[in-house]
Parts: sequence; structure tokens; C-alpha cells
Amino acid sequence: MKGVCEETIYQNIFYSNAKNLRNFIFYKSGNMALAEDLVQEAFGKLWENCAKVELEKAKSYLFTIANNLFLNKVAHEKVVLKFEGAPHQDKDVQSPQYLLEEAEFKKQLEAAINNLPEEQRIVFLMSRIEKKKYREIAELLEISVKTVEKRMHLALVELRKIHKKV
Amino acid sequence: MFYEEDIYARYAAGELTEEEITKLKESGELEELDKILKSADELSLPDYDLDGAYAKLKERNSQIRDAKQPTIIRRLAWPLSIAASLFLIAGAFLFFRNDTTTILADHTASKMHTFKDGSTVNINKGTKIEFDEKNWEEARTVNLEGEAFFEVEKGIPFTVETVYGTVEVLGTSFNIRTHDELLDLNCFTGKVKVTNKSGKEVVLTASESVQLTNQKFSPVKKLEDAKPSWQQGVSRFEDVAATLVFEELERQFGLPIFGEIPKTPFTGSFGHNNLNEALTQICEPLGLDFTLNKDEVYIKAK
Repeated sequence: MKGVCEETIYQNIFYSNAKNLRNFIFYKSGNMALAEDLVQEAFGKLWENCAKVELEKAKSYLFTIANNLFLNKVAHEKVVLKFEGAPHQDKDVQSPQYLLEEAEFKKQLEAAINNLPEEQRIVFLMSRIEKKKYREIAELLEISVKTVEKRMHLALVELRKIHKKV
Repeated sequence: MFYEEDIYARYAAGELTEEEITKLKESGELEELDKILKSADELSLPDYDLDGAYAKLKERNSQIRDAKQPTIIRRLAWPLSIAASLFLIAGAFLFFRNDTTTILADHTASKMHTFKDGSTVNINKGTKIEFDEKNWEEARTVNLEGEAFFEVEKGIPFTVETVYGTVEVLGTSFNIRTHDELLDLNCFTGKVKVTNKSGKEVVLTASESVQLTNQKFSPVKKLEDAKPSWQQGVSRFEDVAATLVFEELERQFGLPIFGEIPKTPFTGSFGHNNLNEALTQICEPLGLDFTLNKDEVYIKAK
């Protein structure tokens, strides 16, 4: 039986899961350095325990370990996610007033995303930033597609409230 | 207006029927949703250098490769979290300290060890101790990560070092626990002295306990049990975050636990011989549900 202890397999597991794991912790914590550290720690633990973890369970194992590490390191700190600002393609043709409103809206949106319940935030960002399908998110989080849709819906209900503020 | 509770989600995924879209458009929701989605789609995350991260990981793993064999007694298994610079120091240290014995009790069983002088230690699951027995006549010193019960023969000071503080004794029996970011010391017989990192001391006599959290001592309390609860196959908690209780459960049963675990404080206990019962004992009072699969547990709110 091919196991996690085999380096090529372990490497494969890393390349197919590390990014998902990093982003998952980032959505929870808003701290990219922490997220990348925890990826290292979780994979380190997987290596230590490679003889005990079945190949099919490796992904679950990694997410659980990373999540536990996260829970124990970050005690209820307020989450503030910082995103890279993708440039506007249509910058030149818009009026300054419009751009200002856009920027303001974006700020409000980011604040509202920060305030979403964690489980909704994770689903929303996996869907919009990583363009994952609901089915893929469901697999990753080990929940049903229905639950993913429900969380996504609730996230949008919450985010729609910012229209009343702007 | 009443909608199904997934309609926005299905809209965002482009799965709505013409009719449903028309409805959303008429109510003005469509425009608002579009604006949110468009703006959210412009968010992005910094790139992740996978090759770099993997190289770093390999470096890290190579440090533990030798210690990775599933033997009970290992030589100098150094804590993994130590930084690279500290590794150099540890490396140099090796020459002087290569008589160190490490005993690791994984989740399958607790372990018993008798030292040269007849003192004994019972090591709970998920715990590691290190000591230098060659030098035992000059210094009875044990490094502890986790939880263990010591019965110490009379003689020179017997010292247990933990990351939170040092415990020193002369002939006695006591239990130390250093999970959950605290040091929990229970003295069953004799006399024990515990010192925190800033040198503050507390002395316990028989049937007393004290906790050291963030380098602060709790008041000394009376003990009710004659032996630590885990030695009787039970883990007991008083006002401990549920996350930590489930961690102990993972240690005792060796199963990964997933799901949405709150940090709600838990007071109570669970037995070590039946997982189903143990889960019920924890989940019921916390209002949680569990699913027990072949080799994992899933927790969710009721």
C-alpha cells in the first residue's frame, strides 16, 4: 500500500492542498503570515505521523490540525482581512466622483466581509476569490452542498445591507 | 418577500431560472447583488510560492526524520517548534547530552517508567518526558511536555522542568499537567515546590493543588481524589474551553475530531474506555451533536 510516508506522495499532498489550507486559515484569521506558518506546522505534523494517517484521510487530518493550531493560537482576536487591491480596468473612463464612490463601496464591503460569521466568510471568499464551485467547497469543508448554498445566501443577505449605508 | 434560503447563492453561481431572475430584478435586489459580487470578484490574495514553501517544509522535516521512527525510547527528540537558530545550539549540545532518554506515550497507551533510584513516573497519553539517567546521582531532573504522575523516593531534590515553570520535590507523589496553556499541579503526598519563570514560588503539601496560568498562580485548593483522575481512566475538567476538552479526547482515543467546536467552558468528565459514551458526556451539556465515523468524529451544533 502506498502511504503518506513516501516522499512523492507526501509532496503531491502538499502541492494539491497547501494553498487551500493557507487560504482557509487566512479567511478565518485575516493573518497571512500565521496562515503560512500553520501550513508548515500542519504538514510537519503530517510527516511525523505519516505512518498513522491513511492517504484518504490526509486532507481531513491537515485541516483539523491547522484548525486546532489556529484555535489555540488565536483566542478571539478580531479578524481583519487585507486583500490585494486588483486594479480597475476602466479607470480612465470613469469620473473621479464615480471612482471615489467605488472606493468607498469597496471599503464598506471589506468591512462587512470581516464582520460576517466565520463560516459564511469562508464560503463566500472561497467562492468569489478562488472561484470554487459550491461542490468543491462542500468537499473541502466536509459539509453538504446545501449547507454551502445556505451559508453563501446568508452571506449575501448580510452584505446587501451595506447598500442601505452607502 | 419570502425566498428560498439559497436563492442568492444560486444567483451568484448563475443557476437561476429566467422567472426567478425577473423577480429579483423587479425588487431591485439584482442590481445590489451585482454590485457586491462585482466588487468582491476584484478582491485577491497574495501569491503563494508553493515551491519555496515546500523547500522550507522539507528542511524542517529533515530535522525530525531521525526521530520519526515509532520507537518508544528515542534519543533527544527535540521539540519541533524550536527555531532554526536554536537548532544549532541544540546540535552543539548533543555532544554533552547524548545520554538523554526520551519516553513518548502516544494515544495508544500511557507508559510507566522506573528510575534508577526506584522513583516512578506514569506518563499519560500524548505526553513526552526527557531525562539523563547517567547523571541521576547528581541531579534528578526530568523535562516534561504533557501530563504525568510521579512517585518520588527520598533523596536529593527531584526536579521537573516544564515550559511554564519548575516543580521541585523531596519524596512525594504528585501529578503535573502542562496541556491547555497552563501548568496544573496536584500534590498527593509529601511536599512540592513550584516556581514560575519569574522566580515566584508556591509550596504544596499533601492533597493540595495549584494552577499556573500565564505565569500567575491560582489560590491553593484542596484535592478530593487520592490519585489523578486519568489514572482511574477518567479525564476531569473544571471550566475548561470545549476546544481543549476535545483535544484531550483526541489524545485519549487517537481519533481526529472535526467540526464546529465552540470555546464554551466545560465542567465535567469523560471515561477512557468508550468513545461513544465519552462523546455523549461532553456533547450533551454543550448542546452539540456528534457523528462517529469509522476513524473520525464530526461535531456540530444541535
